[in-house]
Parts: sequence; structure tokens; C-alpha cells
Amino acid sequence: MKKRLFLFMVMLLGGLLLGALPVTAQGASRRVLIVYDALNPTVDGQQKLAGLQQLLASTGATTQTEKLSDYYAGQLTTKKYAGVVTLINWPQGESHNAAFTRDRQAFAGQKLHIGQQLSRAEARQLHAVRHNIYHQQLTVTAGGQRQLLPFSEDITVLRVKRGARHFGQLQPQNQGIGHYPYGTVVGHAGYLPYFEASGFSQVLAGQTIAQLFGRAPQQRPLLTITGVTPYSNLARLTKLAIKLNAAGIPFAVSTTSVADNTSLRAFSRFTKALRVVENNQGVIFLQVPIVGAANRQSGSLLEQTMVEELNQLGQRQVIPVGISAPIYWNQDRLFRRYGLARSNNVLFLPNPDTTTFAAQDNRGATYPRTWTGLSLHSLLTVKNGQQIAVNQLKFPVRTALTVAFPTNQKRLVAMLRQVTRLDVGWYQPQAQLRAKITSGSATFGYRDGIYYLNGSPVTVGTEATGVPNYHFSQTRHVALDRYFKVQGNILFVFFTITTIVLVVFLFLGRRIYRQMFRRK
Amino acid sequence: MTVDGLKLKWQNFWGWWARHCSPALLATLLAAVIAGVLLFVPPFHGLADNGDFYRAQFVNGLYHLKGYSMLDFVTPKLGIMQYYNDTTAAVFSSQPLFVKLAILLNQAVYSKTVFDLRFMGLVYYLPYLGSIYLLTTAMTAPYRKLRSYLIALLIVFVFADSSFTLYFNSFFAEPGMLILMLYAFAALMLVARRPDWHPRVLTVVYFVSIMLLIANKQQNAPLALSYAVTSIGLFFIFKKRAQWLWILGGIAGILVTGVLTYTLITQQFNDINQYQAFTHGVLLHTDDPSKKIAQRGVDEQYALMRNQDYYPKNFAAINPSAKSVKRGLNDRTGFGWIMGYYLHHYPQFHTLLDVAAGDMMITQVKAVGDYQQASGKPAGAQVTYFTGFSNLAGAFFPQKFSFDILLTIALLVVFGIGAYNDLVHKRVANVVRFFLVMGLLTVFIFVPIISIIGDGDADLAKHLFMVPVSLDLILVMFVADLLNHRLWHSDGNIEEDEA
Repeated sequence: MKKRLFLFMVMLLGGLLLGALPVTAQGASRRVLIVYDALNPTVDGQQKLAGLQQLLASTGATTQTEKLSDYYAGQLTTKKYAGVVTLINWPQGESHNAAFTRDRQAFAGQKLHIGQQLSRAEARQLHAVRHNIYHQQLTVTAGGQRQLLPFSEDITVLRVKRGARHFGQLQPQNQGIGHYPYGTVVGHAGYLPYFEASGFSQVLAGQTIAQLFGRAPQQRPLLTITGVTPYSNLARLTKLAIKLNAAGIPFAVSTTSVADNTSLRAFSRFTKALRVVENNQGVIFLQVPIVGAANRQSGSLLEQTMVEELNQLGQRQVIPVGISAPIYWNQDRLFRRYGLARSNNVLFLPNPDTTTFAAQDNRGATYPRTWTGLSLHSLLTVKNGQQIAVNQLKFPVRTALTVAFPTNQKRLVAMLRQVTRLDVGWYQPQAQLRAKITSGSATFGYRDGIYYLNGSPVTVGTEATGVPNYHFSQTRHVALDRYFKVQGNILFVFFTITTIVLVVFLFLGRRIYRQMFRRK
Repeated sequence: MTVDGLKLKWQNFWGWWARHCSPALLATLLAAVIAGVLLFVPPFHGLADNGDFYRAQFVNGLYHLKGYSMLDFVTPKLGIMQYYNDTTAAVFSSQPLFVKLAILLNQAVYSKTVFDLRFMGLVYYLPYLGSIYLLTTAMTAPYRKLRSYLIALLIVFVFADSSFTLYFNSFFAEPGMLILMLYAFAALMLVARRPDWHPRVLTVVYFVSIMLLIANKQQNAPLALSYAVTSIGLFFIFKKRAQWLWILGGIAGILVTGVLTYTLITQQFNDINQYQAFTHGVLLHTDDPSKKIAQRGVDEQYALMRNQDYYPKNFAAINPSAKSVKRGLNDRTGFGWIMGYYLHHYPQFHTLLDVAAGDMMITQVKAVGDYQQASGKPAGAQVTYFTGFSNLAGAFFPQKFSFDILLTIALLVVFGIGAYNDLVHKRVANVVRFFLVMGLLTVFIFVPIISIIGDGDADLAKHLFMVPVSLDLILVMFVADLLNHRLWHSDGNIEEDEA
């Protein structure tokens, strides 16, 4: 009992240190309030909200997300927040919250408005005049790059008079209308006419948000292969790693793992493939598991699962450099504490279709290095003239350009050809990345291209070394199990004999019976 | 008082008792009290939601009120939907008949908006008492001797066991199966033994019960074959050609119900079962399955899914409903593949069958709680009231599948001799009984095999529900016929016997 209590205290303390520190150390005074009107799935409102949370986390801003109708008077003005972001997903709904409008007006921190329904007062703070354009297909441009947006929108754009910083421009297809700024920042106020969680717009929105809320250093993008699982085609994975290395492209792989059945051959094969990745300029992000069901009691189970996954990988010289997770994990108290906070590199990926929470609190944290996952595919239509211009993009936050693990050989070849032709100056983990993950009592590290386990350097070979031998089918003994087994066998023998005797007697009896009536 | 005086008094009392209370009435009254206390006296008992209840609740217009408990506690009250219900049935089943009836009763008597779980219990309770009455009549009539009352007590001991009756206050489909099986069994035996007592009505009761039973749950579809066997006996009772046509029609109806139930299994259910047949069957009870499945054309990485559920209980490396899993696993491991795998790895299959044999007599659902939260019992607490029979059977029934096969042979020999003797003497009762037992024994032997191939050891105890019911019926009949001297000859007469 004492031991348990002690363990619990250690876990609690560890959890507090790990979970709470990043928030309190650099965040509390800089928390940004995100207020959204509605999720509005018809325009992928959830993804927009998630993308916004992701960008803010990457710029180093902790967040609190609140629905407009749930906002209560005074929430903003009690000086808890450094900034506020208004996200309008459903302008037709015309949701209003008088308290919010009033508080926002009085609020002195940074303010960003995204979407329609920009009030006259807000426009005035931006020193701008509103202008509506209807149902136009837009091209977003910046520098020499341009991307045609695959949708048409009714949007409110600004005619700014003075003292504003712009991030990108919007050109309607009707040339006569002119062109307008995309991201606008004037002093403490900012405006984005719309938000997309992918594509060129995301990059420009990121620049706007970084300008307003954070100071994240500009980084080269990290090529990241996502969607790898222990059930993926491992031959294809090793081939991918070898080819990327041959092309001189460093990369990361985001993979899930298993906590059970690790004594099986299949798990050795999986870790062997991951060591090939490590030996070919690849680094591993351990992706958090999918959540089937969870509740407020799931914390310790998640801790167990993560520690078991990490330790089983670590024992086989697969040392993850970070944790990757869907964005919604950052909005859950338990997922943050037991899943994400153990690593100083956290990579956020788009949310799956269903998001299952354990203890949702909508308080996004930041981590020493928070990476934003952005689909490479969504940038392939950014062009400079006829050329794909991914290599010219300036990423305002730590960005992982994600590519889904190819599902067949043909796609692998196509993907390799595409990535090698892009000519992007990729992020070099071997030279630039420093990583630290704690897993139970173990610490995993990575710096200057060398892996560390509990502080000692680890050599990654083709075969795993130092893996303990496993004994298959460990038998568990239940108190009376053996008795019942013996009893079962005895009964079995007993019934066999009885049946034989019964059949013999039947025949004998019948013969005697018949003989009784036979004439002698 | 002299000994003779005592004896006379006893005889007088016995005469009065036997005149006023038949064994069937005694069994019914006892079952009514025993089950009634469990199910209706507050704080009443039942079975908590195992996660499957929504299938029976939402389709029938019930919803969860605040504080609805899963697994741990029985939730006594549910809401009744007041507006349009857009849920469609996830599965085809005859279970909604019972649930709808319960809601109607609830609305007529109790409330239009709140559903009391006891109405569900009541809808099963009343027909259940009828089935106990019929069953006891079939096992004891026409006698009212002391041994007849012993048989009645045995029936109560076995079939009023709380492990069965707890099901009534729940949204499981099993109580329907239990009751319909009792009706079918009793009806068929009554037709055989008392051909002058409403034979046509009872035959109709038999066929309707069997069809509803098969349609009650997808997993019952293969049972259609077993019940076609049990119906063969009817040909010996009804001798006219025109009557044969009706019986043939009934058997055809049973088979068609089976086929319909089978074909109406949704793709989603197939995927779930196929997946769990692999993760909870093929991958279990073997050292390292990686190579074995690779040999048979499935990526060996899928060995890592050992013991995984289709709907992960907490965390998993991949969503089993993902497209890649369907392509790599489900599309390759059909029914044929699994059969082939077990043929090549018979010892593993045998071990799995022994697991099934070990589970089959444990009828109490241990995975969910039996009490309400208000009762103050810990989460998932189990009722021990009147569970003597299920505890005994669960603890002492041998946990070997080979034993089951031997037992089957022994029972077939015993009942076969009875049938042979009747055939020779141109009687029918024991012939009908033989086919009935044979059909039930096919349930006893084949359901475990089908369950393992169809869904592995996932939910095994529930998939095997019809096995203990069938075996209990055979054993009760064995004891009853032994006491009534009808085991070998159907004209056994105990009128002259003392007790």
C-alpha cells in the first residue's frame, strides 16, 4: 500500500512537472482566447478551428477556446489573456454576444478577426474600410508565388489607409475589382478574410499570426512521412528510407506502435524497418494511439501504454525524437499530461473524423518545439510562373510538410520522383534537432545526430542488441485451475470406461434376454 | 396418535394437495416468487449495459437519461423519445417485438415519457411463467406423485436460476431465446405424449416459437438446421399426407427464417465478426502466429493484433475499420480461410474448443453489474441469490470438448434405445423425443465450433447461450423420464409405484 502511494505521488509529481511546466513557465501570461461562433461542418469548420489552434501552439501561444455563446462578461478583461482571436465559421448564423463585443472593444491586447462579420468598430481599429466581394474565385499571391483557391467565397476585404503590414494578396478572377491584402496587421489588431488549415493560405495566415502573437524563428520544413503503423508494408518503408537517403533528403517518419504482443516476430520486423529508417537520415516521431474510448480514468492507462510503447521501441534501438498527435490531443488535459508533455518535440497532425476525448478542457498548451503538420500535397499548386514553388515558401513556424505513406509501389515511385524534384532546402534533424523524451524512468535523447538512452549514446545497428529473451505463452495459474483440469481428465476417463462397459452390457443383456425365449 | 393415524392424515393431506396443486402449478408459483422478488421488488436487479443495448434501445424509441451507467450498474429508468426517431435498425431481429410491447405497456400504465426497466422484465416474465407451466406439464403429466413434484422442483432449480432470469431486466436478446426455446421444447413433447390435448395448437406454437427464436439474433441463423432435425419427429405423430404437407411447410419456414436471418446480417457485422475471429481465434493459443499466418497469405504484421477488439476498448495502433485493414486482412481472411487455417492447425483449434467447453455452462454474465447504483453495491457486483444451479454447473461441468462429444454419444445411445423400443412397439413418443434430443445435441456440439470459427473467443459466453439451455433441457428430461420410468419405453407406468 505504501509502495503504491509512493508510486502515485511520484506519478502525480512527474505529471505536474511535465504537464504543467510548459504552460506555467512560458504561457500563462500569454494565453490567447479563441472565440468561435459555430463549428459549421459544411465548411469544415472543425478543421479550421483545429488549424488555428495548431498555428497558435506553434507560434508559442497557449490558448483557451470558447464558443461565442458560452462567453461570459468580463472573461477577456480580467487580464488573463494576452490576445483574442475571433473565428467566424457561420456568418449566416449572425451569432452575437453583446458581452463579448463590448469586452473585445475594450480589450487592449492583440486581437485577430477571421472571417466575415467584421464590425465597423473593428475595421476602424485596423484603420481600414470594409468592402464586400461576392462569389469570386480568388488567387492568393505573395512574392512571386500564387495559388488558385479551389473554392469561391463571399468575403469581406479591407482597403487599408496607413501603417499596416500585409501578408499576401487576394486577386479575384474579375480583374476589374482590383486586389486586396490577405493578412493585415495594424498595431495590436489583425484581420484575415478567411482561414484554411492547408495550402498557401495556411502559410500566409501563419505569418500573420506569428507577427501578432509570437516570435517563432523561421525554419526550413521537415519532410515527414505520416500514416505508418506496425501493419504497414515494411519492405516499402525501408525502400522509401533508402531512396530518400540516396537522394540526400533527410526526413521524419510518424508511426504508431503497439504496447502488447511485442514478443512476436512481427514486432521485431517492425523495429528492424524503423532502424533502417534511423540509419538512412530518418528520425522517428512516435504517433499517439487512436482512441477507441476514454474517460477521466484513462490517464494511467495512457501513461502505461505510452511508456510501454516507448520502452519496447527503445530496447530495440528505435529512439523516437518526438511525439506526433492529432491537434485535438492538445485540447485534453489527460492527453496532454500523459501523452504529449513527455517530449520536447511535439508534432501536430490534422484531426481524424471522430475525436474522442478523455478530459477535454480546450486549453491548448505549447511545448519547447511545437511542429505544425502541413500537407505537402496542398502546396503543390503554389506556382511561380509554371514552376512549383514550394522551395520558395517562407514558413513562419516549425513546419513538417507531411506526405502520406504510399499505399502501393506505383505511388511510392511517383512520390519519390515528386519529392526529389521539388528542390526544397529541407530541415536537417542530424544537424539541427535536439530532442528529449521521458518514458517512465527512462530518458531518450537525440542531438547532433546521435541517439541517447538514459544519457549514454546508442549505436543503431541492423539487428537489435540487448533485447531480453521472451518466453512464449506464459501460463497463469488460478488457484483451482489444476484441480478442475485433473477432475476433467478423471471424468473423461470415467465416462469412456462407463460407455464401453454400458455397450458391452447392452449386448450381453440382449443375448441373455433372447436366450430366455429360445427353445432348447 | 397411532402410526396408522398419522399415515391416514398424511394420505388425506396428500390427496388434498395433489387435487388442488398440480406439479406444473407448483413449479410456476415457485418460479413466479423466486424470479419476481429478483426482478420487481425494489431495488430490483437486472443486467447492466455491455455496450450493445443501443441497438435495441434507439431503434425502439428509447434514449439514455442523465446518469446512464455502462457495465457497472443497472439503469432503472430510460427516456421515451417524443419526436421523430431517425434511427434505423442496425440488425434484423424479432427482439423489437418484445421491446415495443414493453414500451406500450409502460405508456398505458406508467408514463408516456419515462420508461421503467421493469416493464421489459414483465414482458418476459409472464410468458416465461407460461413456459415453465408447459414444460413441467410435459415432464410430469399425467402423474401427481411425489416424484412428479420432485421433477417440478428440479425444473425450478434449473430454469428459475437467477443467471437466466436476470436477463429479463435488460436489453439483451437472450431472454426471448430462453423463453421461446422452453415453449418449443414443451410444445413438441406435449404433442408427442398427449396427442389428444390440442395437438394442432401446440404444433403451431412449436413452429412459431422456433422461427421467432431463430430470427431473434443473427448468431441463431445456423440453428435452423438443428431445429429442422428436431422437427422430424412430427412426421411420426401426424400420419396423414395432408398433415405432412403442413409439417414440411413448417420445416421449410424454419429453414427460410434461418437463411433470411443469415442474409440480413449487415456488412458491418460481418466485418466485426471476421476481424475478431482472426484476432480472438486464429492468433490465440499458439506460440508465435506471425509465420503461420504469413504461410497462408496474410501479412505477418497482423499478428500484432492479437486480442484486439474491432471497437478498441481504449487505445490502439490502428483503427480496425480502416481501409488498409479491410484490404490487407478482412478481404483475405474469409470463412473459408479461417476453416482452412484451423484444418492445418488442429491442435490450436482443439484448445480453443476446450476454452469454449470451459465457458459454456457459465451462464451468468460476469462482465456487467447486476445491481442499481442506488443499492450501494460496488460497481459490477454479481447477484448470488438463487444461482445454485449455474454455480454448480459452472464449477463442475468438465471443461473438455472431448467430454462433450462423449456425453453426446452416450445420450444418443440412451435416447436411441428408447426410440428403437418405441419403433418396434409402434409407439411414437420416444421417437419424437429422440429427434428432439438429437437436434439439441447438434446445438450442443456445433454452436461452440461455429462460434470459434465465426467470432473467436470474443463474447464467447454469450454466443454459447443456447448450449447450456439445450443441455439443461436434455438433462431435465433425462432425470424426469428416469423417475417416470419412461427412459426406455414410452409406456412406462408408475401408477402402482409407492411415490
